[in-house]
Amino acid sequence: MSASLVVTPLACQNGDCTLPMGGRCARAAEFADPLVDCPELLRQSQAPDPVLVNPAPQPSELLPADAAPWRGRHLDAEEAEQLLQRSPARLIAVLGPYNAGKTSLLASLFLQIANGQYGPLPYRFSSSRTLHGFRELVNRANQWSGKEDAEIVQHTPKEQAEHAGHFLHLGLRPGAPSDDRHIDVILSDVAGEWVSEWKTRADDESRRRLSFIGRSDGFVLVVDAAALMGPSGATMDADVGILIRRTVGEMRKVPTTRGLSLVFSKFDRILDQVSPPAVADRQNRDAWGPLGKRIPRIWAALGQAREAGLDVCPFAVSAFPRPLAQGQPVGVLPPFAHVLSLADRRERWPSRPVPIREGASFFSSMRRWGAAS
Amino acid sequence: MSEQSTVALLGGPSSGKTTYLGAIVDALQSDQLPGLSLRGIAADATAYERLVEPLLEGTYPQRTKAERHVLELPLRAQGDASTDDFTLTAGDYDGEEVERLFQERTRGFSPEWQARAHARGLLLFVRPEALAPLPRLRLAGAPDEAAHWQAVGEKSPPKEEPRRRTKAAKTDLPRPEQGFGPGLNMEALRPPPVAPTDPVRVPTALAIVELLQFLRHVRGLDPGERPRPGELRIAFLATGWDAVDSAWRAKGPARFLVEHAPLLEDFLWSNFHPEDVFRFGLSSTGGDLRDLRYQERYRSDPHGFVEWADVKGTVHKTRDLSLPISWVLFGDRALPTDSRAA
Repeated sequence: MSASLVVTPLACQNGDCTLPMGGRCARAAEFADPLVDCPELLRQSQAPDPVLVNPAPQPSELLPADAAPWRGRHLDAEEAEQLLQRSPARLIAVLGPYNAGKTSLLASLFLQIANGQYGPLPYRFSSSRTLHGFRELVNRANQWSGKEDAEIVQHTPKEQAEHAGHFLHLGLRPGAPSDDRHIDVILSDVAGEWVSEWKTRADDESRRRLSFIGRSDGFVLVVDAAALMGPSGATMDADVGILIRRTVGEMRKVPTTRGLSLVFSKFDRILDQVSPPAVADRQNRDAWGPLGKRIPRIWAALGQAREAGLDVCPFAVSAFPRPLAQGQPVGVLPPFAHVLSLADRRERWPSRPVPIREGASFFSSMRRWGAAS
Repeated sequence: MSEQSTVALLGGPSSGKTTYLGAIVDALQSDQLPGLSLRGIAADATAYERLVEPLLEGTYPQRTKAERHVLELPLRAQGDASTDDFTLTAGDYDGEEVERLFQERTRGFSPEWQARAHARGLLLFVRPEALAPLPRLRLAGAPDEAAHWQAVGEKSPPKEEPRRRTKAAKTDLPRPEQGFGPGLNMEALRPPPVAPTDPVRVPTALAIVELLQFLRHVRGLDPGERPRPGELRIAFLATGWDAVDSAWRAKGPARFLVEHAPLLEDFLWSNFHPEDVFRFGLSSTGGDLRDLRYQERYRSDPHGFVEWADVKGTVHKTRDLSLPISWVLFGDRALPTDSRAA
């Protein structure tokens, strides 16, 4: 096998190996390149089919020698594709109608991570190829005065250009010291108009723009709770219901369970009408009170998503209830924790009972089952 | 160690690199650093003079406006049983260049910067004032989501009641550290949970994180891949330490930096072995030279200090400004065993 060949690790027969999940080979000391040489690793020895676009030549060839190694802004489809092919990246589709609060949610997620407030996320920040993109978002959010009708972050432009960036990247490391993996998380940040067009009419063009949906490892669907409670709430309910059904129909069939977090955004604006349910009651439509009554189509579509194998959970979220200097967001992390807990679920090998010989020394009893004697 | 071995200084604008270099050169010239000596003097010594002369007069060194200098200081460090020759290197306008590189992307990652990727160790300068506003010291205990919603629903910000300190349950069992010592904490320190009305801080260290990512990339390290222990050590320096509130100083630089620069701390924890990163509080001049009374004292007794916390949390202090440099070269062996508690 040539080292230059694209090799994708699939699984490893060594229970201690985390290479297929983005970690390290348990026998790394034995091989110069475990990805190619380790006999315990099951691998696919050819490039996987591209899911977003065909990988293009590295753009760095065209840049001056003293250019930064990467752009730092939103990843375009080619860059996201390269990440997907290089590592077992988790692609999370963040979808929703125009003005639902998708980009605000992503900005708030980054701010929580940057402030060391991980809540239920069992990870630590490790890297990002889009730090500049994140900074532009949070700087804009920092200028927000608190007026409801003012933009918190700039709406994601409805770019038609092929090279417009529509993905943010976070590299996360599990918080447990024993877990040595680095997990690339790619978060989509596409214009709401694109999602709406695809929801209404899934033609070739709209499918191509949102081709990542089929490959996604989890879904965060964002819907404006205040709009649902408003005069056009029924229309919104119908639109999002169709969007959920469309997403379920577009998913690639995989044997593992994926998560779908339904985010009721801008929840602070309806707190005088609806109280967020307790964690244990989120799956109960009645617990959402008046909001639950206004979302019959969404709830029915969620039922279809469950039947299709998705692990569905609704969340109340307020990404920017006040200007940044005046207080914290609420509920931003749990929707991502939900989808990542499923996208990053690891099937560990069951531990086998180790028979200890009569009279064995303490050292012998500590030896691993299966180690060469 | 090879002659090309370098220790590089990194930091944002006005993070204290120039003052530190000036204080180091001054201390070297007067033989005040026991473990460090000059290996020679460059043919053009104007850069050294420019660094030291203002300090001798009790003012901070200023950067030249006209030219761009790369400062290189050939040094010899004396370890327990060996000597190491290396070059301490920093650029005059590094801070601005870091920011410009982060912003513009298409130029500025010069061969000099790329060469620093192969440094033996890094001194990472962060100025606490740049990390404002300061979070409050608070007791442990996270408010749950319901408390956050309640705070959002209230028109006026609720008055925060002091949380009760929870007592650990008494146990007769011996704790592991009683038998084995405190050891090395492999788990990342975490900032305490925030209260609903605490401000959300906009991270200020993104450009430094990006630069470290670039340097790791040039060095051939994948994201999350930790270099072999001892191969690349990072001394993380909170500068202007004399001006930091005494309550924070008592907690030590490690706790201070975890709570003030959590993203950078998480990045370091994820990408380097815990034993290869050490936090120091640094005051290159021991006080504020803009204060005329202190300026007078400094002129008669020029000194700075370094503080650090040991594994038990005891904060130590020394006047030896070369300690962070010795640490990146020799690791924990460089920490003095006879230093006095701060």
